[in-house]
Amino acid sequence: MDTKISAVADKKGIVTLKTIQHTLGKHTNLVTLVVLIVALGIMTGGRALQISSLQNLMVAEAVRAFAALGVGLIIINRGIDLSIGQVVGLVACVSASLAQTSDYAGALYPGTVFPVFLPIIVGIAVGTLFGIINGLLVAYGNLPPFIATLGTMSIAAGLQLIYTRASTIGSLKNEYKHIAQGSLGPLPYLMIYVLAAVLILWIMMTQTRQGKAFYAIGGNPQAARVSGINVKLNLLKVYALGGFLYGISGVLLSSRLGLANPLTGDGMELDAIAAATVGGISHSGGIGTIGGIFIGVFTLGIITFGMTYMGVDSYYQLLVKGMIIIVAVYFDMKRHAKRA
Amino acid sequence: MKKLIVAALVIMTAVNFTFAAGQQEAGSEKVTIGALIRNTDEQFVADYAENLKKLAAERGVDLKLLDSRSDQAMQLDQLNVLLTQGVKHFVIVPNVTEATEDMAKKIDAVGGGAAFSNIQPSVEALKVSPNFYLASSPESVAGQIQAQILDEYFQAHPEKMANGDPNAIDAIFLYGQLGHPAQVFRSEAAVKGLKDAGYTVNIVAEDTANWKPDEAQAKMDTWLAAYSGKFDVVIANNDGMALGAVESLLTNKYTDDPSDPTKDVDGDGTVLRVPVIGVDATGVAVKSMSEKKLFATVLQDAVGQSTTAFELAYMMATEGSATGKDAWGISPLTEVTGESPATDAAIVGQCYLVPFAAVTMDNYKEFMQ
Amino acid sequence: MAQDQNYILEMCNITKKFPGVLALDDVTLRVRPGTVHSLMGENGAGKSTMMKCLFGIYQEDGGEIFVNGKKENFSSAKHALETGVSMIHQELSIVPERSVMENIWLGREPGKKLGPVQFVDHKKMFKDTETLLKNLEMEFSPNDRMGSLSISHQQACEIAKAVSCDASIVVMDEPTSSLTETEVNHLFKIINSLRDKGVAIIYISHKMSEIFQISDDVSVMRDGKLIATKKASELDEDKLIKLMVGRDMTNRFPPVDSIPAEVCLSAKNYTSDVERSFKDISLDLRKGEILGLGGLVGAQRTEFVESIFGLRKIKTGTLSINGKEIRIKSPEDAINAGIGLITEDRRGSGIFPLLSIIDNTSIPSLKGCRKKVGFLDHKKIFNTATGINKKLRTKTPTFHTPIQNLSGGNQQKVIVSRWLMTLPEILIMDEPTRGIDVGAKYEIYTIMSELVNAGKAIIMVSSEMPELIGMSHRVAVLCNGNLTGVLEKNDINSENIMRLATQFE
Repeated sequence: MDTKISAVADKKGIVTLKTIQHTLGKHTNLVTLVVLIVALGIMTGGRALQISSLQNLMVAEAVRAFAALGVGLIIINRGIDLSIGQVVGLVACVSASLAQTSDYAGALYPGTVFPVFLPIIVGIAVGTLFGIINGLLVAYGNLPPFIATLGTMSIAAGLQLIYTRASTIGSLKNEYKHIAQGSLGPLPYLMIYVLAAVLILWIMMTQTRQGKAFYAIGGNPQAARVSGINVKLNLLKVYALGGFLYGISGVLLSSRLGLANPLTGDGMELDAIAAATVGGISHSGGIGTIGGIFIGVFTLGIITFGMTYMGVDSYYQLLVKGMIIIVAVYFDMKRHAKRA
Repeated sequence: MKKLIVAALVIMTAVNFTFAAGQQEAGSEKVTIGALIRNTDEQFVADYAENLKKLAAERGVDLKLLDSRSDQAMQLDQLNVLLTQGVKHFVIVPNVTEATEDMAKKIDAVGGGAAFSNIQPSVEALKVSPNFYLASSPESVAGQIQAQILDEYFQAHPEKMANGDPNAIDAIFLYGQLGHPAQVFRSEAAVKGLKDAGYTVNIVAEDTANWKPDEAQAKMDTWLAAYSGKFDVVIANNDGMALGAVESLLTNKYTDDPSDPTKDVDGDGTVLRVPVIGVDATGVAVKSMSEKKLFATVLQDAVGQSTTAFELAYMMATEGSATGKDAWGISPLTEVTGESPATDAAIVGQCYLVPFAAVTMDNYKEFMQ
Repeated sequence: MAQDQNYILEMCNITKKFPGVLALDDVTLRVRPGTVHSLMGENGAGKSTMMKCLFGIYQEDGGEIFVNGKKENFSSAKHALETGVSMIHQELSIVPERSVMENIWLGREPGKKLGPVQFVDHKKMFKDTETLLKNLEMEFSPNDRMGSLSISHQQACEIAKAVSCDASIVVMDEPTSSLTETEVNHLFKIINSLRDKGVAIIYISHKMSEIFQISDDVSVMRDGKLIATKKASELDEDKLIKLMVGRDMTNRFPPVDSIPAEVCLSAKNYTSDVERSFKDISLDLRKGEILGLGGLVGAQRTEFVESIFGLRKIKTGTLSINGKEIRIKSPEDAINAGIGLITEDRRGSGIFPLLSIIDNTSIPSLKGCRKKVGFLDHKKIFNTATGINKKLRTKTPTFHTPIQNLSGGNQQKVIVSRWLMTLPEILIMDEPTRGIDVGAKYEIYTIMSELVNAGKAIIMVSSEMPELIGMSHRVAVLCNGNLTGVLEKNDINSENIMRLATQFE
């Protein structure tokens, strides 16, 4: 295999080589996605594959995509984050409460007019704050990430209930709802946001020192330290970045739903971790790409979409999703075992 | 990055290739109704869904029933998918009232309509078009009925008030999952109902047992140790938790006659020292009542609500409109009530209130299966 | 082969091959009952390989093992234990959260039957343990938590465990490495009482004084061969050292003919933050010099050089580079000061297994490979990294191959390339040729020689005597955290190094 690659590389040079190797490394994910799309097309006689379906899929997965990108980066750094769902929920509640119509009597701050950008900024700040707390606990408090984020998960869940008094925050301003519900011609805004985030993070991971540091820490933290990388600071950074992305996810979720309550975002951590995993992010660290996470999100998305389209009972959807995750990771592990 | 482009290209090609096929999808002769239901883990919703399937089979309707697992985002995605498939008429058990307006708008955009059950739609949702209906007995009614039953009980047995003050009720509350609409509305309405009946409500203890009997039993065990003799009643958001509390009271011998837990010594209708009350009128709950353990429950009429909603959607699909017509023998309201959304004169004609029933010692036999 | 009943253990003609290495070459070791038999030799002489063959951890390629005259071929340590052969490892294998008696009887708890169910008989376990500890004069209770005991007591438990299985042969691997003087004396008392009971003890240690204090017989190994077995009374320290290091030095090294110039790095009074690590070390390093750092395992050489590099904390000490005092608190500081470190544990803290050779080479140098906006200059990275690797003759299909696919020697060259890319003035190489084959070793030596010729300075930590002798301008020797001496070029020889390395007090 390697010699073949080198032959190509010698002729065409660095970019092609890198791309081919990365693509080969992650080939299974893309194949899985394409197979699923084709299968869906066959099973519905092609009817499920329309432009509007693609729009539905993009819109449905956008919020999860942000969460998956966040946790994917954390997993690349040998971490894990269980607080996602509750942090996203808390952010949704906080941002929704600042975006309620001022004449709505049931509003959390009735009669107060907040500018539209405020819920966005505050929401993202809350998410980032939780990311920073997670990062501090993991990097400087030396808590195992599983435990640290289990703690913050519970804290975020509690804060949601306290902040909302366990009720639903509705009646959001139309301008606010437009952030996630609007579209530019046939392109939903949500799709544009996701593509922009993917592009920016892809650049970060492949074109900057930051990305190299993350891969190095995930690959071998001791070696990274010897190489002059500040491991603790970078762990803090990746959890904070994760929190930032959950913040965006939470804001978009409340904007899209036009409401938020303590149930919002429940269980999203599992979807996000599953998507990142299916996308080829290895839990042993140092492996995975932004594109892989993106594909992972849409692989799970197309399963949900397809089964919903065909009217499969949601109980079976859980079953099938579980099996896809196990199968995808099984082959991934096998591939890495062979390489090692 | 290249991989992403490849992926996008593959998807696009597949889409373009089959786009024409998608366009050709012709409406079949069969009536199609979409059903978006909250979560069949809940007994009420499960009964509701079962009845819908039965009705659809009887009428030859193509029913597309989707369960959102309590996730409003998922319900929205499911709505989008069904709209893509050309479904126009819906029966909806929403996750939250606040989401109904946006859903109505989406359905209205394709010229469709929907009937909402169980959780009431907002006034704004019904105002979207005359093709949106309420077919429900709202959650809060369950709480109101609990309050009514307890009011009757304490009027008949004032000696059962722990603190001797006939106007102050000392209550223990067992909540469902916090923030769940059924938890919020049932609890609020129960307290409000008791207050409206002239009582002061002292909450001796309150906590969530997440709808679960075992959690409720454990909570009750703890509370009994702390508050024995200091509470008048246990109010639970559902029958499961109520039965958990009953079990705890029985094992802790908190009964009229500690030596014989089958004897209703004081003749108040329950062998326990205090009444325990739930919601749902499940089979086990009614059986427990027959043994004078559980004191009372409230029937949320799943069959009635689902039949009403189904008939409304069916009429829209077959006759173009259901405005002003009866459904399951129920007529639309003509006057406003104190209950949202039937508070706005403009849309009272879109509200179909399904009767509900208190299940007490007097009538429980009617509900035994 | 007729077996002599005078010996309790005979390992005859043991041969063990590893790819490219003859680890044991026809070694015969005979141990008499009721004696302490010391096994000596440099690091890598084959002592532990020998013991691993005894316990079935390695399968020998040739030779036979007899216990009490009976041929044995142990498949595991448990199997050996059942036959009365026990080993006390340097790293104790205890379960710290369980009690002393549970540790001693782990896996073979006395049972009692209650109907069809087998229960652990705690009462019997306690009683047996109590008797056992009393016989060995150990002053702790069977119920004490293992983790609460001192290291010497934990070790005593392991010995008790061996005794409890009626072991007739007990192997002790560097048992005193983490003990204090009084603890050592207590251990010796236990060893003596075991010997009096007829138990044979194979005692592996580097500490000369101990050897003469406790041994009856001494066997010396070197380069996988048994050099001699002698009565301790026939030996003295000088004779022993000669036996251990007396090898012929063939020309395995390139000439190192640079002439050291002015001092470029000067460490003063370096004392570790951690107790029992290095203390009060002062060393100078000159431009164009290879300073060898010798010592036995546990001499704290790695700890010392890693402190210079900012990986470990120091309590006291100052560091000057080119006469200017600087503080190094992290590897980043060290790299900025022109220091590079090739760590001892290539797998653990050297390579990024899944990353390419390019990435592995360029990671500490990316700061200097950026374009205006902060984007990486991939072209520059590729050219620089491949350039250095080509110069070092790293053999690889492509430079995008993950480093884990390369051989140890080539991995090491990539790591050397990594540090050359940072353009260091001072390179610290901790065991630079560990685990790589002879050819690659020579290439690494050549690179080192070229570097010092170009005016760079190298600190080379090495456990291989020939390497220290063949490559160093000077050799500093540590023992037990102390700098016991610095040998100038003319004084560098095995005897001197070994003497300084074993100068414990």
